[in-house]
Amino acid sequence: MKRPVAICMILLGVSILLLFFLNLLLGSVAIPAGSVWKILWGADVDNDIWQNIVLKSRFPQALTALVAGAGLSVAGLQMQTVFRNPLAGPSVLGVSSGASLGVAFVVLLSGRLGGVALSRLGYMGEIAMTLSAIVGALAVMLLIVWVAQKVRGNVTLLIIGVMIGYVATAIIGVLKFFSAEEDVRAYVVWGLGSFARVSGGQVMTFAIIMAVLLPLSMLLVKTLNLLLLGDGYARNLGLNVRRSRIWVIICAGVLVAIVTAYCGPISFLGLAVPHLCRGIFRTSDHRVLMPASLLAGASLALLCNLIARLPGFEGALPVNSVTALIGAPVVAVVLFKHRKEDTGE
Amino acid sequence: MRKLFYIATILSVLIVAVSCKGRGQHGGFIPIEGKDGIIKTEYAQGFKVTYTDEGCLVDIQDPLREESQSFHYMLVPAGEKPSNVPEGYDVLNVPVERIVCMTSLQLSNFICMDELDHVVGITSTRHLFNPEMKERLADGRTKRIGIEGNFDNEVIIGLNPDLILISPFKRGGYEALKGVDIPLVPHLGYQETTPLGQAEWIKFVGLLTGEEEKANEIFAGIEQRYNDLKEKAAATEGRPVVLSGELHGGNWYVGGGRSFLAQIFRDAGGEYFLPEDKSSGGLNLDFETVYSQTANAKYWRIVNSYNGDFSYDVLKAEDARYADLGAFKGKGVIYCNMSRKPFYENMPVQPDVVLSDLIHIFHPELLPDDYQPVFYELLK
Repeated sequence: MKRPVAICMILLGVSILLLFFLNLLLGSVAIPAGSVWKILWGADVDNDIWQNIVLKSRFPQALTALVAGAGLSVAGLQMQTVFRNPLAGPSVLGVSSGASLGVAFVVLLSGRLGGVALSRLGYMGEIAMTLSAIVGALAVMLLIVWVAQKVRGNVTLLIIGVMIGYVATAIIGVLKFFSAEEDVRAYVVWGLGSFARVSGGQVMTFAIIMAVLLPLSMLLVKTLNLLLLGDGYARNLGLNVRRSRIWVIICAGVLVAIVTAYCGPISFLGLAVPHLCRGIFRTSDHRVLMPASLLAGASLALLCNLIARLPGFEGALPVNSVTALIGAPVVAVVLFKHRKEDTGE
Repeated sequence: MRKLFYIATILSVLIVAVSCKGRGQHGGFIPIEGKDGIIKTEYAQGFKVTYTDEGCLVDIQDPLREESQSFHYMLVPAGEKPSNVPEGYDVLNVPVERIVCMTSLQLSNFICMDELDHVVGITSTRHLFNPEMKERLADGRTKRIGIEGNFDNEVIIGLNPDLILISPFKRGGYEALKGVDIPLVPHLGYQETTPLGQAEWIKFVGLLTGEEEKANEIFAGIEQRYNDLKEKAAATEGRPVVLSGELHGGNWYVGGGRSFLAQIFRDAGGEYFLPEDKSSGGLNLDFETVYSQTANAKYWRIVNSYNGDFSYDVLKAEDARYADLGAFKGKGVIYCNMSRKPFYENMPVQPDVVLSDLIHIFHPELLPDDYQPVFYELLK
């Protein structure tokens, strides 16, 4: 039995709107819903503090969560399809390790190289970190693409990707070993991942980049559907398998690189959301799965962000813990139900 | 009758002999009236000293966490075997000659006491300012033992220290050291909630190095200067509200309303931004919580090791939301750059200097016009 796709999509869209508004509404500081609504529409509420909190703190954070969730889920779906491996996720090719390595170089070596440190290129802190993460992630991705041109088998490529990830992690370990404690802590904080880190002008840059990349990634829907059939069939149908594989990897890699650069390594969402969507929509057609992953990823990330900041917790919980804590049961339940009906059929 | 007299005589001779011997052996530890060599704590909550006939008992406990493990030491003069060691106490011979320091705070105690000769090993710190310590590192009299959590055990054993000062609640890595049979003694100065309490830990170092008198004298000076300044500041009107710290990864880690920082702001005639908060440790708050409470705070204290010239532009570039804070708009950022000033190396033993820096900012009329700040300055 197939579910009506349109209705599910609309429901997902509505849930995004609802969760987005809840993200603006709820936080450590209580602001009445009416005021939030007014602030959102640019009306004057006579309270600068509320206005700044909603517009400059909650709004960027919610937007970051939405965009990052969408990006990671789409990238996860692409990786799972291209490697025909349900356990593949956006981090599987070492792209996020590459981003971590870039950040580690900036944060951990900032004292050591003195004047030449990367951190002096821009303002110390977040912007330098973002740039270095993008550089690190893209460097690893290019390496993978180069390997993908030479290597035929998917599994080989996958293993090489995992190995690159290990090497990056090992280098980070060495850097950490030789670094001052405060630098290590700064790095660890980055590694926890957070939607709250991006602020002000940065969030607009982030959102615009993703607004361009996400529609572009939809162009690969047909390719992905063909890849699903297996290399032999795909080739018979006129697909250049190797080139398509590279395009998909580039697309997913860039998405992950950008998200990781702005939010730190966010685990779980990218791996889980595609499964969630397959469970909900009962299809493996990427024409449905791609937009569905995008929407479901966005709303799950918003939900996690909401829970991480619920009043009562001291400060915001690390988002990575929340994504897995909330997401894992949701996905498990959906898959479990799906399975039961499958066997009943 | 005669027999009784005999016994009485022998007994009295014995008693005199024993008491004389006791006095001769443990003379340094028996409290002598009017002498400065006795350590008594007044402000520090983390350690307590009791004197016995044979030595002195030191009880160490984290003042912030009463349920945590406590540490007990009996300090006895080198070469002596105390006959009566209370249960649970480890014997340490003093004065201790060779010590390894794990933190800048511990090092600050030795710097202030001018006892760097005792320091044979320190952890690797990025910023080290003390010229004598640099010299000692250069000619190898002191060695770096690696970073906390990753010590080079061979170097430590090679140093043959009598004692290692640790901060047991930090990153650790001490398990491997436990097998080496060198006493690991906690120095909990950083857990004290008052500036004078933290500074008073130099008395602990005084006990270890056998320089009680010097420690008492130095601390008395710090105490006098601190309390004089505090009294002056207490008489002023208008207590500006102060906020502290920066956002890291979306969280604002701040000291509680009863923390060390809150105390020194209050003593300087200011008010910490969490007056209702009762915690003495730290809290994680998110931006909106901090912002909603400090939008109108006049001052904002920042200590970091920014590589370059820190400014309001840098702050704004790090997070655009900072620009909405009152202290940002009113240029009330109180700043100390750890890469340029020996903050952790000197601050713990100079609370009076820190206090006068703050008073100079909060209530400049209390200090001379030509006052030169040492640690904290208003960011221009």
